[in-house]
Amino acid sequence: MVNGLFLLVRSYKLKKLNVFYIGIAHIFIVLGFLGNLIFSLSLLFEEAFVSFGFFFVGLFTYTTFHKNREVSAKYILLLIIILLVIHYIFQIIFFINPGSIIHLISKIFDIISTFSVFGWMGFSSFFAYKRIKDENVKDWIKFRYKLISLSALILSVQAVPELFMRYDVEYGDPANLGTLIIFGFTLIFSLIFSIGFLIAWIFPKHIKKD
Amino acid sequence: MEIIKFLADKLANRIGMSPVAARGLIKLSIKDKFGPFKPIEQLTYGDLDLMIEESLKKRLEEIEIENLEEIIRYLKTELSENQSLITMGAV
Repeated sequence: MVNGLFLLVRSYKLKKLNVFYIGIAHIFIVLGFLGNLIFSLSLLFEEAFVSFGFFFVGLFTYTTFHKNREVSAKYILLLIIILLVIHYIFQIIFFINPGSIIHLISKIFDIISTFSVFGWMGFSSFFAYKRIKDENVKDWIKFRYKLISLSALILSVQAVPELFMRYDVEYGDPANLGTLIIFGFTLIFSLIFSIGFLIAWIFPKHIKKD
Repeated sequence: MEIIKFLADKLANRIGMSPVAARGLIKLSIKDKFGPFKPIEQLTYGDLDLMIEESLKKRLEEIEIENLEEIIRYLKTELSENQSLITMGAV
């Protein structure tokens, strides 16, 4: 949330729409999780906000790394939107009529869409870093590329453990050890991403001046 | 702004000018195109592309740089391929 607000303020000051996208993405994702896990506003509420957040992450990747040079990037963005919509539809079906097959299909789409969103960001940042690593670019900027790449790639596999979760057990239920372990893994992946992303964007000014 | 330093290094390397002079040339071209009050941090990809295409090209023409079209194309490609520096170096 801190990161999201910081990026929103910076986007206003710098008049950069892509920074707004990544800021609002953070806010949406956090609100989604808070809404469901703390305020019990249902899984559909969480998935809607998280899906919008993921869409904005994709939009950030597209506008920051690809917009003016690759036509194919538009199709990747389109693919991400389609995957997120399909996943959400399966979540609605699961909400109305829970079952193991729907749960499994929904989780598979969750894994593919999460990997597409964050894998795309991670690889985009990695290849952009490779292009500038031998150039006369400040070290903190190179570090930012590496950190964004690493944390996004870690988060891209965040949904995989959820595939092994039973459909009739509540996510993170302390009474079910398996679900609790899966929840723990997801939490660790998310925390690594959040901390990595926070460090990547919030550099002290004195480091930037070096 | 890192992207300006980056483009200046590329230009300097291409036309045998010092990086500092090339950076000055690019900054002057930005002022030619957008006036003195537009903050450099707020320049977008489109602004920089336009600056290369118009005001920088004009200034390079004035100092009689050879292979001008090729250099402009080269700078525009470098800007396009490394556009993420506009964000990564500014936030």
